[in-house]
Amino acid sequence: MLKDITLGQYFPGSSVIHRMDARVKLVLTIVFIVMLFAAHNIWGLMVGVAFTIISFAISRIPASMIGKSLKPIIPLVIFTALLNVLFVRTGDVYWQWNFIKITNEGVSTAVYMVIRIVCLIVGSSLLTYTTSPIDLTDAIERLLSPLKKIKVPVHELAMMMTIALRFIPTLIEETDKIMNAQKARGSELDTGTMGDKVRGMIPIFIPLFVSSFRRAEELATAMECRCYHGGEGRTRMKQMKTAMRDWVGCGYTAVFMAAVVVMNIVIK
Amino acid sequence: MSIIKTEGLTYVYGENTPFRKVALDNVDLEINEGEILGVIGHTGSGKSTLIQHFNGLMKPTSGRVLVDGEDFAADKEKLRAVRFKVGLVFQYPEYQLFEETVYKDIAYGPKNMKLDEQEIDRRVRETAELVGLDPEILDKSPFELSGGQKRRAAIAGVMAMEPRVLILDEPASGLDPQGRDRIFEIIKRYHEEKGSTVLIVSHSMEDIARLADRILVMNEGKVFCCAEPPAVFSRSTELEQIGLSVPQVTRVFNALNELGFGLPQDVYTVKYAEKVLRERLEQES
Repeated sequence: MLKDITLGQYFPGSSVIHRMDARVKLVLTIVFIVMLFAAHNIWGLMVGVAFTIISFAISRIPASMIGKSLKPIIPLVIFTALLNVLFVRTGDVYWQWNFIKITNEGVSTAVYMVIRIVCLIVGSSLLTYTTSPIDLTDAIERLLSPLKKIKVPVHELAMMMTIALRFIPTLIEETDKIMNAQKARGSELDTGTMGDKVRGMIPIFIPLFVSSFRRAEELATAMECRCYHGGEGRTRMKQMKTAMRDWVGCGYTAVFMAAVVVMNIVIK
Repeated sequence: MSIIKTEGLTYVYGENTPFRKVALDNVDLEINEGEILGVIGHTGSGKSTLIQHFNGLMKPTSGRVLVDGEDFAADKEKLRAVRFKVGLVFQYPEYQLFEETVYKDIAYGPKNMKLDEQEIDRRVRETAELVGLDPEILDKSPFELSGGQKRRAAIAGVMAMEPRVLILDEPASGLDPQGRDRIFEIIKRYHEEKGSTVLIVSHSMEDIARLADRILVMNEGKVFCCAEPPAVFSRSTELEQIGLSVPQVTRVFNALNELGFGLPQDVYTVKYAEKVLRERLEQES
């Protein structure tokens, strides 16, 4: 059912990575992405792969979850690989037919790209697996807060994201309820032609819109009653604090980053 | 003759995830044709999950649900037929209203049944009358109505399908006392006029005690007991242990009995209590 859709994809746990500061995790993920693209040869990429695998092992996220995060991007990976194989025309020719020319450089670029994309997805999903969406938004707000100086409404944007995240499960639940209520009145949501299906959605969308507006209004009133007036001078209930494990995490990532640089310099 | 029967009905939420929860645990039940069955239980006792099995909105993890002696789970056609046979009114049903007019909204269910125009018209007008909505209200938008009217319009939407079993989940929640009484009167009238089986899910022992022929008490996904009201309320200590209260009058009578008045144990409505007390007073004077 609809309830099975996991939002973000937070997978609760208590590993070191779960307990790390969300800001640090976010920054390290960006470093990791840079690392992947900085690697110029297969050994550098292997360092990136090793980093991904070790981090996953530390987080104790079941391996089946990796497959789950990769599944939607399989077509993209195949497409990128094909593009590279077919359109990189330099290097030694392996095989040629009409205008199709497969070269060793084409194949190696394709392999690099596939490894990069897979690591990128797996690595960044590690962030979303181990960090709850709320913590993540908080981290984004903190990291972007310097932008306030140039009048970017960082707090407001983060608040909007938090509220959206907070209400997605509620609205999913609501949709589920409304769907059930209409099914109980004999609506056929899953049969009929395309037109029937679209028309079948009306009894769901109208109540859903009505209730979203109602909720939005109630929330706005509730926030106003508690004197919400934006981010100015607001303190936080949950202070983000970096601990030893965060610095260890930084060190660990730095070592791998250094390894990639070394690989780039040593192996040409 | 039982109209709904469950055999070893078990339902598990989130199988194979860290959030696994057994919502219904081996439930064996028989609901008799034509009775009013009150369903009571604490939040999370599985009562809402249970009723959604009766019209096939949920499918058992294991076990069977029989409606009219038939297992409908596998057959899509039968499933649809069951939806019309077993009408389900969810909690806060007014949130499902969507049509331009109240008339159209009540007609939505009957239309899905593919009845002809005349029959639909008859049913809409009849149920509107039954739930106490004036004919001029039928042409209004459902969003213009008052809270109580919306609730009644939504209930009418299910009643218009004239289901043989009508299930209502907390039909009176969030209404004022007058509104509550009105809803229960409507349910009673529907039951009498159509002779259908009615299931009422509620927290309130008072409401259930007033209406139900039998009471089903659910606790942690299991059937705690299913019996006639006197038998259920005589177990008041056990009920309190699982977080349910007995009707206020029953509590008063229990207290009086503890003081040694020797009154009957099966008092659960104010009316009956009055009768008992009057008799007692006459005896004594």
